[in-house]
Amino acid sequence: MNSPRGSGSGLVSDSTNPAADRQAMRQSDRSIFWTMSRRRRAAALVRTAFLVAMALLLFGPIIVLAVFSFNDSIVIGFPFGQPTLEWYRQAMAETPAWDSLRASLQVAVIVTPVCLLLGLLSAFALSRFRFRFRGTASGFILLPLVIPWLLIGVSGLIFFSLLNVRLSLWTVGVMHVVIAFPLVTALLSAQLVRLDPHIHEASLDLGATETETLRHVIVPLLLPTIGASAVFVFSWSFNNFIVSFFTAGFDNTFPIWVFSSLRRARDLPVVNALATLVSVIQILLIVGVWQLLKIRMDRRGQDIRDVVAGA
Amino acid sequence: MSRIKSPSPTGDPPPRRTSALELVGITKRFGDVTAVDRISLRVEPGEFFSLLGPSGCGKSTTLRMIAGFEEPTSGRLLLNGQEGSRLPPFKRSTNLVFQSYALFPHMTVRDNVAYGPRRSRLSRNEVTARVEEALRTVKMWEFADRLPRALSGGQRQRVALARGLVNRPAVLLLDEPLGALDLKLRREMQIELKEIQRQVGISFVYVTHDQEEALTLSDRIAVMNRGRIEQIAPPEEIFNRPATRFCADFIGEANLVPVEVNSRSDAPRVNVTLPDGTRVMVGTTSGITSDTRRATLVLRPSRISLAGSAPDPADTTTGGFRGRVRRVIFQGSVVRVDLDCDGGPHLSAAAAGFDIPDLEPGREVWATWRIEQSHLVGETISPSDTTGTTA
Repeated sequence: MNSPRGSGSGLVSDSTNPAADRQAMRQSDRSIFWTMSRRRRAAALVRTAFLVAMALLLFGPIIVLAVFSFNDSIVIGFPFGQPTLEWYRQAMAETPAWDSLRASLQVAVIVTPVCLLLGLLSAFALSRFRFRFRGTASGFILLPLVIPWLLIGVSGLIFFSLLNVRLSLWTVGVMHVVIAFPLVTALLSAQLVRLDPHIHEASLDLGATETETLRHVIVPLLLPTIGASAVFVFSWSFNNFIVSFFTAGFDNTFPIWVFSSLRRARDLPVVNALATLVSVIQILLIVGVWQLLKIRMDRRGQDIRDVVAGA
Repeated sequence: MSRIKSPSPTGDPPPRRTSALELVGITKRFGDVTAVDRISLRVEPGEFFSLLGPSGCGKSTTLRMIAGFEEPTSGRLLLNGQEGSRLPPFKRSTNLVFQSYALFPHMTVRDNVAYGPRRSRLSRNEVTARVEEALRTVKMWEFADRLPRALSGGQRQRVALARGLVNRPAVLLLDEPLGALDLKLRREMQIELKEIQRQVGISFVYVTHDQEEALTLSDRIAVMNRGRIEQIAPPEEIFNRPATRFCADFIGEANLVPVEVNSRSDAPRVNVTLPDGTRVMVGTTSGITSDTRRATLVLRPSRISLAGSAPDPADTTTGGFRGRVRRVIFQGSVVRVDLDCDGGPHLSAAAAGFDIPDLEPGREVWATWRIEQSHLVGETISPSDTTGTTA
């Protein structure tokens, strides 16, 4: 590297000031840009532009929503009026919204542990035992991951009405389990396959039953992935609209409330404000859990990225 | 240690008390493949017993059947005299040390070792005491609070050993436990493993493909090939009097010379004709019957001397062969000389040095051996491997 400070001592910097080192590196990065050939400079620009475009596509809509929740006009469009907290004040008073939020929370809190248990047991069975119809079982369990949620919602509705089950938050919960537990199975299976199979055998050999092995060896080893799965299942359940919409009957979850409120233009900014609030809380929650996992895994010398991506 | 000089056909010592482990006609088939074919063996309490063979010979399958991870297709398996072939692994008085160690990565060394005792519902004090004893035995007590990933390969191996020993099994099974270590560490661990085994007095069944390791460690060795046991015997006997051509070939270096059997008249010694037409006596034999016509002479390279002139034909204690030096290889502590002999066979001789001037390719020499150090097995060599020595 072409250090502007001149006489470096080769690979190891003799500087005692890391901040100065970083400064030097940034400067040299910048100077590298202008020493590149024209073609490589163009390529670097294209790369950066692509990244910015992707970020805009992903986060732009959410940011627009958040920004306009502070605008004092009910029309989402420029010119931007006076900044205001009025919509947040109104949102606080919007009882049906808070009821639907509580309903969504209740569903997610029940759905998450059920999915974790089902996912753990199915992943353990599929990856550790050889039995008849194992392939078929695996296919059926993972099928909901590829069937469109619209179809799952409609067929859930038909199924429950055929059985004369009254639609409620309970039926929503059942459907959420159906769509979310295969995700846990997939994540945990991927992790189980990467474990040394002899670890399982060693536990049996030392006198542990299958249940004891699951409890003392497999679950502790999978804990980070189980944590990550919990985050995914919780947010899938909490945010799901389409399946809930068909199977909620007269109950409202938060996404259903948002959808029905959108039809009244006057309520739009309130929806905006609430959606922003909920999004921020969810993001903080997920980042929090992630950091917790990371701290735990750093202590054990593992890499957090291994949890969801089989590195 | 007194070793049995005149073994029964399977090499088993006569039964004194209940064997720690006994296999009777154990067979394992996977589909059409017979991995283990009617093997019988007996491991005495406190014995270091090795299963030795090339990869795919069925030794690991045998070990997994003893541990309970595979069920035998037929045959009986007795642990301390009790039928055990249908017991699940967690109900057997065996413990297995895996080649990959299979330590629980989320547990400290202490918790790894305590895992077995805790499952058997021992009191807390008893568990603590046993864990300390086991860890001290393998010299890992100072590392009790480390996680496995903070240990070196050799240290992990010791912990895996302690984790098995702590349960005081009837038999400790070891599946190539030193296979992942480098040569120097492996040699050190071999000596220590033997030391530990003697100290704790638990029977070990040790699976390896490394013949040197088996010879170093074992009280007795079962040589396996293609799912069958070819010989069960103490190391010296396996080396000096291999029961079959396979044993001779697999254990140590061997010159295998096809010979014709002349007569058994002057028993116990047999007279054979070498490929060049010379007649010599042989020291010991295995599997030779009165109708055996063709057989294989086993000559260890280290037992062959080279001479510049022909041995005295009147000397009946020495066998000899004329040949030409093909190459001389300096191997550090030994010099190895490869010869092309009259009548076809290739021989190797190995010694610290040879007292012959001008030992160069093309020179004519005589390879000689003392006949009591030659051994005859009643199987001929297949045409593909008449090249003589194999490593």
